[in-house]
Amino acid sequence: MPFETPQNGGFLLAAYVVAAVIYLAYAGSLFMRAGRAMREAGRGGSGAGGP
Amino acid sequence: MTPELLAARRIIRRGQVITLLGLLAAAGVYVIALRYTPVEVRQGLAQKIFYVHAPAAWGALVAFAVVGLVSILYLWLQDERLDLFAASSAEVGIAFSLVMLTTGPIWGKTVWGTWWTWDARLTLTLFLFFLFVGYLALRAAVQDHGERARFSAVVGIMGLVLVPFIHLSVYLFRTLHPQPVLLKPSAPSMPPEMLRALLSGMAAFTMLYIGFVVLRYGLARLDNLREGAGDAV
Repeated sequence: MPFETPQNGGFLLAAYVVAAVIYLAYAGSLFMRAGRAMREAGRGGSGAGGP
Repeated sequence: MTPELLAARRIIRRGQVITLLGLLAAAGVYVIALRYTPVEVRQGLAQKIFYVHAPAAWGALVAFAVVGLVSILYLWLQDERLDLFAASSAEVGIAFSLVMLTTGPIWGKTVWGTWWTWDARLTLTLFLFFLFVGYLALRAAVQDHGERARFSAVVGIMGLVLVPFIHLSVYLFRTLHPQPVLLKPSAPSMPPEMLRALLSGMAAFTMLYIGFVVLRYGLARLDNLREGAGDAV
């Protein structure tokens, strides 16, 4: 019986989307925190949250 | 504006630039993987998950190894900046681990037929993830900055001990997880097109890791200034 390559493109799409969402969400959160912290530091007030 | 504040802002700016370059490079890896790599006959398109999963695993293990190494330096030199850098790398490592621990099961479901199996590599990786979630929880719970830095440095060093076990687990134990194709004594066991995509992924996601860590470290420095002398992040 000939071997058939599995049709599993949906799994590939899911994995790539999940990875992109995680990286972009984390980058977005860092950029937002940085923007807020720098604005507040410029005003001489409080800023970022620490790890 | 104080020199410390200017330095923190400069670090943040650098981190932002490197992060944007890393994200662009990561997008390029997606294109290379989807358009310019062959479809593996037995695994189908799902094999291409490897080009995202393996660099995420690399990024996570590098991040956690950096936490451990920098923690050793912190305990030796007692420089608060080292503690902030270790904490930044731990947070970034969690992000990379999340990608590793979600893309891996998606690949496993279609190739192994199951989302998860308690084999040595997967189990140790999950433990490492929880260890660093605990590391961040510990930092949030301890108020005294000296104690926080000291306690979390010890946890970070524990994590460093796990890293080589995770890499070698496919040799030490009977495991379903594929053997390394790149970080091994013999030559890489992949066709050149696949190897190029994998190496591009490693380079791009390493750049993204550096960008994230530099940006997070700049933020930690800025927050440290906000809290004033003695009250660290």
